[in-house]
Amino acid sequence: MKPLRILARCDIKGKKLIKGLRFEGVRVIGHPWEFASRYYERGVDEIVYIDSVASLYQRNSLFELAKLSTKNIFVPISIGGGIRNIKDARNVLNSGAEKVIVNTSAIENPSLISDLSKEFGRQCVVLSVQAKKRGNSWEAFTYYGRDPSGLDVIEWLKRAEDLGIGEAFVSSIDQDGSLLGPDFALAEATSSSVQIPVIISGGIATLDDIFKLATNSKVSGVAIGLALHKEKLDLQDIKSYLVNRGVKVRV
Amino acid sequence: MKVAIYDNEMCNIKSVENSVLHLGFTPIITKDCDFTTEPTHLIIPGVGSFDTAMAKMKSNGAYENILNYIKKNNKVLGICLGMQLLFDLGNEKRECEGLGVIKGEVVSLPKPIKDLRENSPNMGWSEVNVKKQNQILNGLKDDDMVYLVHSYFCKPANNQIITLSTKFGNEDICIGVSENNIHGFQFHPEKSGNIGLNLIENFLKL
Repeated sequence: MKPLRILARCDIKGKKLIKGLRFEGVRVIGHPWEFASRYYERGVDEIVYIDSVASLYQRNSLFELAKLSTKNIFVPISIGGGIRNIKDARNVLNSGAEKVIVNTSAIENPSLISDLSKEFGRQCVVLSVQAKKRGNSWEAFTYYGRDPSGLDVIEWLKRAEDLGIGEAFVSSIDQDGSLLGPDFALAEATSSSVQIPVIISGGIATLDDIFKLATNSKVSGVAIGLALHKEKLDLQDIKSYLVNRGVKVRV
Repeated sequence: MKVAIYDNEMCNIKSVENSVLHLGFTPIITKDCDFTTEPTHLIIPGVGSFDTAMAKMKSNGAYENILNYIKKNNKVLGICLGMQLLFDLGNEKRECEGLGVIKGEVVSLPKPIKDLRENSPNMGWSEVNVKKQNQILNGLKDDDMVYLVHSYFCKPANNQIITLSTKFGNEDICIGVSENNIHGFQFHPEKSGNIGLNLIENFLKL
C-alpha cells in the first residue's frame, strides 16, 4: 500500500500567504516561507504554492519564493498560478520546484498540457481543477475560481489525462476555506475516473475528514490549507491519528 | 574534493544544488561537463524525457565528457532520469540509446494497483527494500520512505547491482543501483527529507 500523502496548501498573493473563503475575500496570514518551513519541520509530505492572482495579472511572483524554500525544505514543492508556456514552466522547475501546476492556461489552450508533458515528462505536469458543484456534477473554473469554463470536471480531467498530465490537484470551490469538511463525492468521483494520482483539497478541517478521504476514496493525497495555517490541525497529530487507524502515511 | 552537478537545462538543478550546499559542500554547475579540474563527485539529476535529455547531452559535448569522466573510474550519482540515462537503452516515446555505462534498459512501469493507492506515473513516497547494503546506503533501512516521481524504471541486466527496490504493481522494481564507481537512485534524495539528505552525504563522502 502506498502512503497517503499529506500536503500543505499555501495560497499566495504578492509575497504573502493568504486564504479566502471559496476563493474570495482573501485575508493575509503571514509569510509563506515561514509557514512552509514549519510544515516541513512537522513532517509534511509536499508543499503546494498557488499564486492567486498570477493568471489574472499575467505575472509570476513565485520564483523567488521557490528559490528561498528549496534552500531548507527538502520535500517536493509544486507551484502553480500563471504558468502560460514552456518558458514559465522551465523557470518554475529551475527555481527548484518539482512540479508545475496549470489550470487557466490549460483550459484556454489544452495543447499546453501536451507541450509541457513532451518537454518535461508528464510527471512534472499537475492539472489544478477548481470545481464548483452543479447539481450532480461539477464545473471547472478558471482564474482562481472566478470564471466558469463550461467544462464538466470529470470530462475535463479525463481529457487532460489523455493530453498528458501526471497528477490532478482538485479543489472544491464550494468548500474552500470553509473548514466545513471536504466534498467527499468530488474526491470519490475524480479519483475513480482517472489512472493518475488525485489530490483533493478544500474544506478539510478535522482528523476524521482526512481518515474518511483515505478510506472512502482513491485519492493519493489530501491538501490542507486553512486548518494548518490556523493550527486547527497539526501534521504530526494527523499522521499518528492515521497510523493508529491503519492508514499508511510517511512518518 | 570537488562536487559537480550536470545541468541539462530541463530539470530541478536548484534543489539538488541546495541539498549539496545544505550539507556544507559548494558544487559547481556545468552544462557541458568540460572540466578544467576534474571533480571527484559528479551528480546527474534529471527530470524530463529520456530522448530529449540524450539529445541535449549530445548537442554540446556533455555526452562525450560524461562518458570520459565515468570511464576514468570517477564517482557518479544519477538521480531519477539521471539514473536512467546511465543505462544502454530507454524506451520512453521511442527507443533511444543512453550513456550505456550500465548494462540494461529502461522500461515503463507495470500496471498500477489502484486499491493499493498506486498510480502511473508513480508519484509519492514509497518504502524501500534494501537488497544490498553498501556505503552509500549507510543509515538507510527497510521501509524507510523515499520520494519517487516516474513512469519508467531501470532493469539492469545484472540483478546483482540492484541495491534498492520497491513494490509496484505485481513487481519488485529496481530503484537503486551501485556498480563500482557508478551509483543511481530512481527516487529523489533531494526531496526525501532527512533520509535523502543522508544518502547524498554518503555519496559525497565516498
